[in-house]
Amino acid sequence: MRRDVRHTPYIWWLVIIVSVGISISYANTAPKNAGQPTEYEVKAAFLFNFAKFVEWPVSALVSTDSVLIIGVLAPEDVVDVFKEVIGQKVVKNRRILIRQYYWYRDIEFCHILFVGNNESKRLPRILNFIKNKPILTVGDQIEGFAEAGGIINFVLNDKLVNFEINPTAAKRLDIQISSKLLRLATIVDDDQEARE
Amino acid sequence: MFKISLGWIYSKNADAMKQQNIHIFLWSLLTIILCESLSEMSLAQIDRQDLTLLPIDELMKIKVITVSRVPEQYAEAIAAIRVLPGETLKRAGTSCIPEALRLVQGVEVARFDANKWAISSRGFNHIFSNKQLVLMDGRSLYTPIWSGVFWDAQDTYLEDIDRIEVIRGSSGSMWGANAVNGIVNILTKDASETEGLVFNAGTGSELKLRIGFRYGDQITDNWYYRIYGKYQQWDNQVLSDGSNAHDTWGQGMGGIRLDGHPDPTTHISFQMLGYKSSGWHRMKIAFPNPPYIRTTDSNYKTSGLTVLGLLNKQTSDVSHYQLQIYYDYLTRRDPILIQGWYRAFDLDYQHQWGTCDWNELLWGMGYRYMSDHIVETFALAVIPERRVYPLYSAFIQDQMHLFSNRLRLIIGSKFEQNEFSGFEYQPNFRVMWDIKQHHHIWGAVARAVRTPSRADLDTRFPLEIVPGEEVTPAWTGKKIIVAATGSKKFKSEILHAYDLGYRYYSNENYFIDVAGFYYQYDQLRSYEFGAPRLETIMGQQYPMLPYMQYNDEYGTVYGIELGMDCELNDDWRFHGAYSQLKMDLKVHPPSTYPGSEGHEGETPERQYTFFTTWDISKRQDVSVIFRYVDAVPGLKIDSYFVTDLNYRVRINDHVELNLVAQNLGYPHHAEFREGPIPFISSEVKQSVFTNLIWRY
Repeated sequence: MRRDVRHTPYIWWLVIIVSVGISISYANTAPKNAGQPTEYEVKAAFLFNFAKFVEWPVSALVSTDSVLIIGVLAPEDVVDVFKEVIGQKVVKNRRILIRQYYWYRDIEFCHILFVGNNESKRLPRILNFIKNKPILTVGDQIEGFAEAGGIINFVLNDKLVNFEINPTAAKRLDIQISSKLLRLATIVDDDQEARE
Repeated sequence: MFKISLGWIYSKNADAMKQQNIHIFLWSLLTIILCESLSEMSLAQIDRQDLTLLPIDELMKIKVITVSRVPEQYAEAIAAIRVLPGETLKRAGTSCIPEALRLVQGVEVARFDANKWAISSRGFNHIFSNKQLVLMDGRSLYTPIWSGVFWDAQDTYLEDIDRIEVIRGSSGSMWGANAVNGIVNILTKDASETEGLVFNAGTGSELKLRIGFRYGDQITDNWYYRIYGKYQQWDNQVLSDGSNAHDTWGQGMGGIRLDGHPDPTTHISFQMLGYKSSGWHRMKIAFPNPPYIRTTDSNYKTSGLTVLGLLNKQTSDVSHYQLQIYYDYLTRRDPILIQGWYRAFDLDYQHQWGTCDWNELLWGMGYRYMSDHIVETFALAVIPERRVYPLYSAFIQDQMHLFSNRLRLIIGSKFEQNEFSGFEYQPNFRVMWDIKQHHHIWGAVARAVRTPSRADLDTRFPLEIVPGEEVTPAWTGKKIIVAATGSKKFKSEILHAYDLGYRYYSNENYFIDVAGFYYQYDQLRSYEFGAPRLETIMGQQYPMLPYMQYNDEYGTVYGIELGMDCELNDDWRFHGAYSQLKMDLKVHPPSTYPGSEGHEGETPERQYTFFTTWDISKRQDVSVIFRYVDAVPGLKIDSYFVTDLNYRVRINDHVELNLVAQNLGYPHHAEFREGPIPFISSEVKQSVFTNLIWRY
C-alpha cells in the first residue's frame, strides 16, 4: 500500500532544512523588531532615570567622585543591552559605569545593583551580603523582592514596564527617592519593623 | 544540528509521503510563513530612539518586546529535561496528555488502540511500560500491579495544566524505583491562577465529543478554589484492513482544588478528583474448552478516586520543607479478564536546606501503603488474590555550587525497602559545568532499579492450549495449558546509567539541548519453560506448562537526543526534536530466551518531530507539527510520517475556536502491535476536530 512512494520525500527534507537554516541564520543576525524597543532597553532607560531621581547619602558618594556604578547580577546579554543604552551616559555629572558580577560574593561597591530574575532563589543571601551598604537595589520582576528588603522592583503589566518601591528599605539606608518616582510607583512595604 | 539534518535526507525509511496534496499544501504554508517573516524583518529597520531622553512617565507607556525565559531550574537542571508549558499544549491542539508527549525528543508514544497507549523514553516501550514513571501533582500514576500507566483513566482538565516536565533517563535517585528510563511529571495550576469560568465543547471525526468546564474563584484573601469536570467520547479505530476495531471509549471526570497562601512563606493545597471510564477492546483469550483460543470483544469499566493534601513551608531564608499526603483508589472490571481494585496511601516529606553559601542539602522520607484485590479468572489470575505491600523510602541529595557557581555537583541516593525485592539503593553523581555563560556541559552516573510488580511475582496468564504429547509422553491425549507465570524469585531489573549532555540557552530566543546516553541493563525479565505441573484454576485441576519469569536478559542501549527551541521573533517559533537509539540485548547462558532479539526490534530507532507555531495576528495563530517514527520490524510496523495542524482564532475576548487536524498522511497507520498480551491493537486514523472555548 505504501510501497510505491519511496523516492519522494527528499525534497521535503530539503525544504525543511533550508527553512530551518535560514531561520537560524536570521535569528542570529537580524535584530528582533528593530522598531519597538525590547524589554531590557526600556529597563536600562529606567535605571538611568532612577540614578537621576535618587539621592545617595554623602558617604556613598565620597569614595568615587566622578562615576556612578551600576552593578549587574544578571546574564551577559542583559549587561550588553545596558552597556549599549546607558553605558556612555552622564548623570548628575557622573559617568555611568556598568559592571557585571557573576556571583553575589563578587559584589563590590556600587550605587545601583540590578538583580536579575535568575537570581531570585539566592535573593536572601544577596541582600544579606550587601546589608547596610547604601546601594539602591533593583529587582528584575522578582516576586517578594520588596518584602525581602529590596528597594525597587520591576513589574511587567501587559508588556508595560512598571515598578514597585519600598520606601522603608530606602529610608533605612538613608537613600532618598524623589517624590516623582514615588508617585509613579506602586508602594510596597517590607514591614520589617513590624516583624521584628 | 546540520549534519544530523543531512542524515534525514538519506533516510531509507522515509516512505511516508503518500498524499501529495497535503504536502503541496504544507509546502506552500511553509513558504508563506518564511516569506512573511522575512519581509517583516526587512520592514522593521526604523531608527532607534534614545530612550534615556524620554521622561519616565513616557517610558511607562511603551509596550516592550518580551522574551520567554527558560526558568532557572530547568536551565540548570543536571538531567535531560524538557518542559512543555500549558500554552504549548494549547498551541499544539493537544486533545489528551499522551499526545503532548509526542513533542518530546527521546519519548516514544504509540497509540495501541483507541483507549490504550504505550509510552516510554529510551526504549523498552510497551502498554505496560515498566521503566517509565509518571506523576501528576506529586501522585504516582504508575500501577504496581502490572506496572505502566492506565492512560484511559488518568487525566485532568487540559486548560488547567501548568506544565509537563519530562526527564529522560535514570531518575531513581530522586524519584525512586521504576524511574529507570525517565519520568513524566504533570503539574496543574495553582487555583489562584485559574479564576473565572471556562467552558469548552467540541466534536470531530475521532474525538466525537469533548466538553468540559472549570470555575475558579477567591474564597477569602489568600484562599482560592476551582472545580472542573470533563467528558470525552472517542470513536472506534480501525484494523489494518480498514474494518472497525470496536474499541470506542468514553471518560468522565471531575475534581476540586483548593489553594491557600495564608502567609508568603506557606502554601497549602488540597485536591480531590474522581473519574469513570468505559470502553471496548478486543482480546485473544485462552479458554479451557474448544476452540480454546477465542477472539472476543469485551466491555471494560474503570473508575477511581484521589484525595491529596500538600503543605509547603519556607521556614527561613535557606530552609524549606514539603509534606504531602494522598490516597488513591482505582477499580478495573472486565467480564472476562479482570475484576479488581487497587489502593494506595502515601506520605511524603522533603526538606531543602542551604547549609552554607555553596551547599544545599535535600533529603526526604516516604511511606506508601498499597493493597489490591484481583479476582481470579481462567484468563488471568494473580495469586494470592489479595495482597498488602508497604514501601518505605528515604533519600538524600547534596548539591554544591563551586567556583562562583560555575560548577555544580550533586551526589545522593535513594533507599527503599519494598515487599517484593527487599532493600534497594539508587545512587547518582551528577556534575554540570558552565563552560561559558549560557553554555552548560553536564554528565551523570547513576544506578536505577525497576522493582518487581505484582504480576512479575504472582501472575498466571494462559497463552495457549496444546496437546499433551507435545510436552510430555505422560500427558498424551490431554490438553495442556501453556501459561506465562510469575516467579517468587524474580529480582529487580538493574540499570547502570551514563549520561552526557550539552545545553545552550540564551535569554534571547534559543534553547538547544543535546543528550547522549550509554545504558547498561542487567537482570532484565526473561522467560523459560518450567517443569509441567498440575495447577488448580478456579477450583479445578489442569495440567499446565509454566512459562516462567527469570532475570536472564542483559545488554546495552545507547543513543542521542536533540531538542531545539528557537524564537525567530515574537510571532514565530520553532521547536525541533530528534532522537536515535540502538539496543543490544543478550541473554545469560544457559537461558535460550529469544525475547532479547524481540525487544531490540520492538523500538523505533529514530524519531523526529518538527513543530512550528506562528501568530498570524493578535487573534489568530497556526501550528504545524511534522512527526516521523522509524519502522519497528519486530512488531511489523512501517515507519510513518504524519502531520498535525492547529488553527486557533479568538473570535472576541471571550470566545476561541480551534480547528485541529491530526495524523494527516495516511487513511490509517499502526503505531504498536500486540506482543504476548491479550489485547489486539488497532490503527490510528487521520482525523479532524473542532473545539470552542468560552472564557469569562
